[in-house]
Amino acid sequence: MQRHGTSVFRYCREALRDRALAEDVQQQVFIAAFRDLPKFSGRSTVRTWLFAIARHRVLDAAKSRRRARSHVDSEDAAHIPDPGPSPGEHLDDERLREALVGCLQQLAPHVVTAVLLRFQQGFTFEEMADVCHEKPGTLQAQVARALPSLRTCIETRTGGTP
Amino acid sequence: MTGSNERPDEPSTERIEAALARLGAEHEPPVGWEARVLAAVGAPRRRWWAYAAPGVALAAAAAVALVVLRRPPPALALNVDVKHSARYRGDEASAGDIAHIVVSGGKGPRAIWVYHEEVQLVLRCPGDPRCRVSDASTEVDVTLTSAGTYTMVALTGGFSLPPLTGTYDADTAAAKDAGLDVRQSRLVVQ
Repeated sequence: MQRHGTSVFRYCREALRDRALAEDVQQQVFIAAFRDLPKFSGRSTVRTWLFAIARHRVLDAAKSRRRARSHVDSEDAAHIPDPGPSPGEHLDDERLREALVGCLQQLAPHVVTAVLLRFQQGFTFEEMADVCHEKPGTLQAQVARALPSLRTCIETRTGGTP
Repeated sequence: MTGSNERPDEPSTERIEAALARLGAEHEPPVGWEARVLAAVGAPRRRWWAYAAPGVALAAAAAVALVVLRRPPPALALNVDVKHSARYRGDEASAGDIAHIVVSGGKGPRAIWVYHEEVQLVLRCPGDPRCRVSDASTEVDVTLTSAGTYTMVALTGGFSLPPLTGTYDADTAAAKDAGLDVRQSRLVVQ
């Protein structure tokens, strides 16, 4: 648990952008893992198996939240200030991060998951295929399409022109 | 993926990927989350007897150990078997026969004293090289060299035997006074 708990939590936290919900989902992930442990065949790694559970729970939580809310009002949408254009100023890491967080929320949840698994968690596309039950090529295409979208979104938020 | 005509405030794909890799690095799961998971998993699945089982098993083991440890040792036993040396004359022993003496059971070290006519100590175990001592028994073979009565005494129950005087009555009385368990057998040699 200690070995994977932090990385699972960070994935949940960034995918859901809601700390309380992420804590709840992370707990559900490990409870499910304990209960399903006898079914774990060992064909994938424990990390891959845990993230498959986490991905499923995160997507479920995101879907439930969308149903419960008529408008998006997550903590980060409310609290993250729009960095705004800063002509002539080099885009620093913090402004980039803030813009990136906002832009991720504009992607579909399954794409956010693919991007986070790839770059935040460092999974290969083959490992991601085990996690997401998708073909590696499909996931690679999702990520490849997401990056230009993110870049364009960040440029817009930080004042750059595409 | 980085274009050569990027403006300084345009993020490169590499910078975006690096920012994604750092995303959430400052966040830690809540303190005590492991305990909550274990409680959620363990509590409903364990029945009351699952908690009681270790205690019950321990108590059962202790009871068994108590019974085994407190079980009294087998009683002191003295067996004398005569091996006839020459002519066989019924059950009676005759001079030259050999008495095979076996002492077993009892609590503590065992000893054998053999007297002739109750006044002459013929052999003592331990102390005589003919004695064979094991955890299960103490054995010795004694040649019945003279006619008369041989008295075999088996003793157990103490680590220190009383000093021997060489007479049956005095020695066994001292042994009994010392709290030893005493058995005796007599053999008449023709």
